[in-house]
Amino acid sequence: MSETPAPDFEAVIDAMTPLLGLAVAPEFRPGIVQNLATIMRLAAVVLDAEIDEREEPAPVFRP
Amino acid sequence: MTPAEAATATAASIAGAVRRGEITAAAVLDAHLARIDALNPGLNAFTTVTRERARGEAAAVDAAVAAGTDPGPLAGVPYAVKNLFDIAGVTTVAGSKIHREAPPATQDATLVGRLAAAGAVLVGALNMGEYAYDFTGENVHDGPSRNPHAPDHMSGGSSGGSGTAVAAGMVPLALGSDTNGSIRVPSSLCGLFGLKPTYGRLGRGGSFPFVANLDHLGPFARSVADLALAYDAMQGDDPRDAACAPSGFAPTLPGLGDGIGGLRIVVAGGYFAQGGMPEAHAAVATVAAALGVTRTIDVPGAAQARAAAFLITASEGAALHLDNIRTRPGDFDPDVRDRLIAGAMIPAAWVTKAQKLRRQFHARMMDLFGDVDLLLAPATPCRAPRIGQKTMVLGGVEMPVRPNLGIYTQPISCIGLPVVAVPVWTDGIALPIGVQVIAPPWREDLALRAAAVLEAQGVCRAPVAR
Repeated sequence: MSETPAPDFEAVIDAMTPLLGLAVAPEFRPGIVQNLATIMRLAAVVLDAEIDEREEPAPVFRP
Repeated sequence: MTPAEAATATAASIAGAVRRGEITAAAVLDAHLARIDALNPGLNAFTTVTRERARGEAAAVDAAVAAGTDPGPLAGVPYAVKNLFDIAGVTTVAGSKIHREAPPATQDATLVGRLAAAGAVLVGALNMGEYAYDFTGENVHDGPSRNPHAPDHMSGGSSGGSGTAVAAGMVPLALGSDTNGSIRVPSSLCGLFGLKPTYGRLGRGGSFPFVANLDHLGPFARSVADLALAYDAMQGDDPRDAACAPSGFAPTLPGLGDGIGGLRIVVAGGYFAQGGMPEAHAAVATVAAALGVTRTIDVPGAAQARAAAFLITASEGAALHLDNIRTRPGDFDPDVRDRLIAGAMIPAAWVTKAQKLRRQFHARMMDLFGDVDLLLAPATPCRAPRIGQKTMVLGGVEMPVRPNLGIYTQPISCIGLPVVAVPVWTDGIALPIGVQVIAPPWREDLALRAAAVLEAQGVCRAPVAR
């Protein structure tokens, strides 16, 4: 993950907005790109972490 | 106690004086309303002042005292709540423009009901970052809540008005919420004692959510005893909160003066010893020296836990507000809107891994707590930035202020550990900075005891701003 080059965030926005049903005005884009960059930086930390394949996720639903 | 003394007194001293009949709750209330009227126009802590309700609650306390019945442990104590708590008859706006259109709440939030039952007097609702997605205390709709110690500086967020109101002496007690640091950051920036209890300890019924599996509620005060007094009054099961654990009533006030003898206290090293301004780490050293702490231990996995909390927050926060982002994006604070839109684009696989990392970090921390009773860590990486400041330099790297004020709080709330934030001051510098006293799950009492020692030594204090 950390060795993967950063994606083209403008292309990510173009691809994701129809899926999410969002209309992104041009003036929103710089802020979204900046936030995607921050998310990518922190996602790399998460995705690089070693974790046992049997690890449970944290929130457990107890009926 | 005179009304002038009551106006900036602690909750415990007000309750004591009211209970003894030395002053009426009505007179205490008038003194606080006068301070709110004088100070709030310049500091912007309150978005609603509930005068009529407050007068009714104060009158009920005074009637109980006159009748010789118990008016409650918080008799006549004025308090206010972040405007994401339901107040019957008031619209819960959660810092937003959009929710101003919601009907008034029909019932008090669980914790408001608990404080009312304890005799406290609700004086209003407090400014906050929009939908709690904020560490700055800025709000594009209501204006920023200002730091009473230096009004051009941030209060911290997202419970910014809570920090402002207590530090300015408008109220001795306020409630806030903390998903990633929103009680501890304003406590640090405004120089207050703040308690973020264990996840699941205090009922969240009737509060507007942000990230359900990370949201906590808790008090701000200018003394540790006031934190304990309010916290004890708010404990109890909450059928309206699916995450509220049946943990039993664990009062902290009776043992508050038990000291720290025998407690194994360490400084959190590694992640927590890096990346802040020198004053953040110096504050930890000051607290450690005062408590006689000489040991530092690494906290493995903290960086991953912070990243995990960040992703979970971005994703779940976006999911909560997705419909409104679709239909009325122009009604959001642009900074919040852009974070939410970006958060909506996070792949599910990343969030699932983040939740697994959370479990892993929890297991590591439980191992650590086998040998440790309390951890000390910075609360914020810096003192209060200036209002409007967008970036700061930490560890030689320029980074955005808004997401990074919580770098030290976020890993801790990620696994729901209880924390008392304690304020440290430096001679000649107007602004304080906080330290986190972190305890194992369900051991709020230990963190409060250590905070009480620091307060008694004069190392940590929460003065009313002048």
